[in-house]
Amino acid sequence: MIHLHVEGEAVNSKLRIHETIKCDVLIIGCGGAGLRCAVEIFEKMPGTRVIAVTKVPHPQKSHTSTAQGGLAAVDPDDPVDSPAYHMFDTWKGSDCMADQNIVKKIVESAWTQVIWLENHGMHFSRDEAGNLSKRTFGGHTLNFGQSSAFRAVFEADRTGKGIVDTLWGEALKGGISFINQSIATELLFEGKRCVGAVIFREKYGDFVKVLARATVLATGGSGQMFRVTTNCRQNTADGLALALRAGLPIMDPEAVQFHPTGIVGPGILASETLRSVGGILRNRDLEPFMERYAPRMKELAPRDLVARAIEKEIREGRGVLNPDHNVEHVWIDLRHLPDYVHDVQIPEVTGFFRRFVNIDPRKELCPVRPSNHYHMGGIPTNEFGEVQRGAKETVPGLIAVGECAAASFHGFNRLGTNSLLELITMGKIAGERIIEYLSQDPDTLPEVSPERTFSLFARFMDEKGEENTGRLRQEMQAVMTEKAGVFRTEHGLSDAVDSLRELYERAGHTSLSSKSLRMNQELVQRWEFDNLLAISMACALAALNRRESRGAHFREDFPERNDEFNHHTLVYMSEFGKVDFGKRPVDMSIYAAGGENYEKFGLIERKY
Amino acid sequence: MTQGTETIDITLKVWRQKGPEDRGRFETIEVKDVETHMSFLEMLDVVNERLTLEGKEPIEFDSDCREGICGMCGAVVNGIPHGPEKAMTLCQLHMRKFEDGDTIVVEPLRARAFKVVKDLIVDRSPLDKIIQAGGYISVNVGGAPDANAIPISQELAEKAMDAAACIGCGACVAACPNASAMLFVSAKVSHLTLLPQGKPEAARRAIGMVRAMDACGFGNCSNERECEAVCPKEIKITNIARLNREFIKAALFSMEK
Repeated sequence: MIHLHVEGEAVNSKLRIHETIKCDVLIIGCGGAGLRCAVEIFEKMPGTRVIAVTKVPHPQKSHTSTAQGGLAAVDPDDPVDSPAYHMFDTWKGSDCMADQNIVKKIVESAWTQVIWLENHGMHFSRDEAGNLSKRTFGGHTLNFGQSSAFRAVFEADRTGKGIVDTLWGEALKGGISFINQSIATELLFEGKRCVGAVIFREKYGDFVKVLARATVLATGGSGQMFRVTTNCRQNTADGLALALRAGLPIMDPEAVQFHPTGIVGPGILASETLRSVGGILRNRDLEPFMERYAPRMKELAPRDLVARAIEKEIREGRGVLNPDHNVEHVWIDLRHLPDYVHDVQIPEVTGFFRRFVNIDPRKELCPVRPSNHYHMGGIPTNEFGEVQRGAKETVPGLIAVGECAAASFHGFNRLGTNSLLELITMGKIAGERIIEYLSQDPDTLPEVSPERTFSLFARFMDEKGEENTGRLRQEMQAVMTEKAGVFRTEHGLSDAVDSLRELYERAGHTSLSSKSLRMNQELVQRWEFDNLLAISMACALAALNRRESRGAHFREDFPERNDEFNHHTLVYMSEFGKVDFGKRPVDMSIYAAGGENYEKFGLIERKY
Repeated sequence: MTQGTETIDITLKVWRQKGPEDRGRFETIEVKDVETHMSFLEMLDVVNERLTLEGKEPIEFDSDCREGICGMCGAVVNGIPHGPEKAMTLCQLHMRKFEDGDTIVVEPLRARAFKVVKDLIVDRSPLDKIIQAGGYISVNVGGAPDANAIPISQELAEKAMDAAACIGCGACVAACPNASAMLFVSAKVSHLTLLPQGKPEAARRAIGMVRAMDACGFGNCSNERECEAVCPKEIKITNIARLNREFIKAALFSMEK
């Protein structure tokens, strides 16, 4: 079949539902969280019809696979560590914005999850005695902040890949149906109940209506909002935009994490492991500057503190300019580390420097600077992963897990290794909830029709003008990085809002060079750009609204944390740029229960 | 430590194919002022941006993490899957490895079992079918109260660890004159069979996965070693030897059919 160039009406006549598929569970996104959820359903309820949609050509390629460092889990037999310490670290790291019911639930079931993965063939690294190896990570401590904790299990520096490979096999064993290289363009509702989604299959250029008794959003992050990001190309906030378009809120969109050590150039993450094995951050004068910012934890302070320290060094003229990319950076010094560490503990990461920037970390200093890394905010859910319409009311039939969701386990700053823990745990919990849901819910699926998809795509097809989506996207990323990045101000954020409005308007003057629906990356990029603009706008407006500094959200004009803002922000967007704010209280049940060490879970000061 | 921005001019001969049924052809594109610090895929991004500005269709290619771990990218560059550098994925290849005036030929990862979807994109979902036939653990040997209940020697762990490095990119298939997926299958079989939790169903796994591989239209191994040479994760063909042993053992002594 040779695809002909078709114009106008011919294209619009293709904007129709090609096929309707019915299933029990539709999972949108095939990273760790989505697949873990699927596998839980197959284990407890074999024969369930599960369809999983992935944006990438193959489920094994999801972004979870790039997670390097590890998975935090307290072994109950560990003589020195305790789940209470892990909960405290997460709470403190979140700057008092994690929900304590979620923190307790996830931390307490962590070790069970490690055993589950191990039993299903995941290959954790072992020490010389044959036991699971563990490493330290920023913000993870013993005895409520006294010393660094060896808490993260790992598979060399490809822990995420090990998880995805394991789950991929398990999901296939269970009989999952994958729809590869496809995007969800609209959630379908019958009244207030979610009954599936419209899926656009890029490979065939057609739309499929998937009706499901439960729908899971597991679409991952939104890193492409920023110029320098460790995220994949595909992380364009699709799930969040899907929720917003359905009239649902997103929570804390301003809570964006910048990883301190992105590699200058490709923006790839130089794992926190580099600092945990002894890498030292140095400025232009080769001063180990972290000693000034976090005298106790130094390089192992949480990510937001290290990122701000680096940005501050650069702003005060102690950075180094890279001529290729015209960006300033600091160094990470790995030269003093023994060969064994380079070869065995961090081979993948030192390989990045060698391959991508032509630098030998054994002999040379390596250039790093903060890089967008993780979105703590997301689609609000309760402790079972059920999506919330407001502070309490949930949406029947709709679940969100993983980075696209905010339960919230991470609050305003995520600790390293806590994301893998969250996604496998919440994936499992959501799976359990779905099973309950399926056994109660009658097996009926209504006939509903999409309302927005075709007008949206017709608009993209019909747009005419000289603008180019790729360039507009770069402009947006530059605006967000400069105005809504590591340091934020009232003035800068207002500028960002204006620029985003202008970019939205200009996006209407792009034109596609091919009007074919089949394998048209320009069309998909146009759709992604709409998603990115919407979430960037929500992020900038929420950041403007939060006149305080908390975790990764740092306002230079309001540098202190303020108890007045001790709540999550819910953002609704009825049309582009028009938002309503709601509030959700932070769960402090560990504190309220008043057990042993309860005072550690109050509104504590965050110093490292 | 860092050099000024250098540029080179290159000629791309890139495979363009509209769909699986299209015959396809090479298109020649002159690319001026390629900055040598760019990766190969960044160079393709630049080419695509220029193409769309001229109102032409961009070159379709797969990529995601651009860190060398997701296994999504891959194309045959100058006759070699993932390009001429050893132990690299395509996203790790950089333009500094090329000279001014070079002609670079870019083709999809061709194999009978991998249909071309468009341009440089091939359908690698047959690898799913192979995994579905046994690339997992279904017997729960643990129920162990502690993952450390079954200590695994470091030597064994290292071997399994090396095999588990496979990212399923399909370069081994494209490099093989028989378009065999033996290296992919053997990596998964080795990883799982070397570990205690994978032992109980070793026979079923070896037979099932090899059978699925045959059914998908992948060829067999004739010791060409091309797969090992192009594998970005340096997976060794000793894994194929292990797979053969497991397969023969299973075929001779196991009840699995």
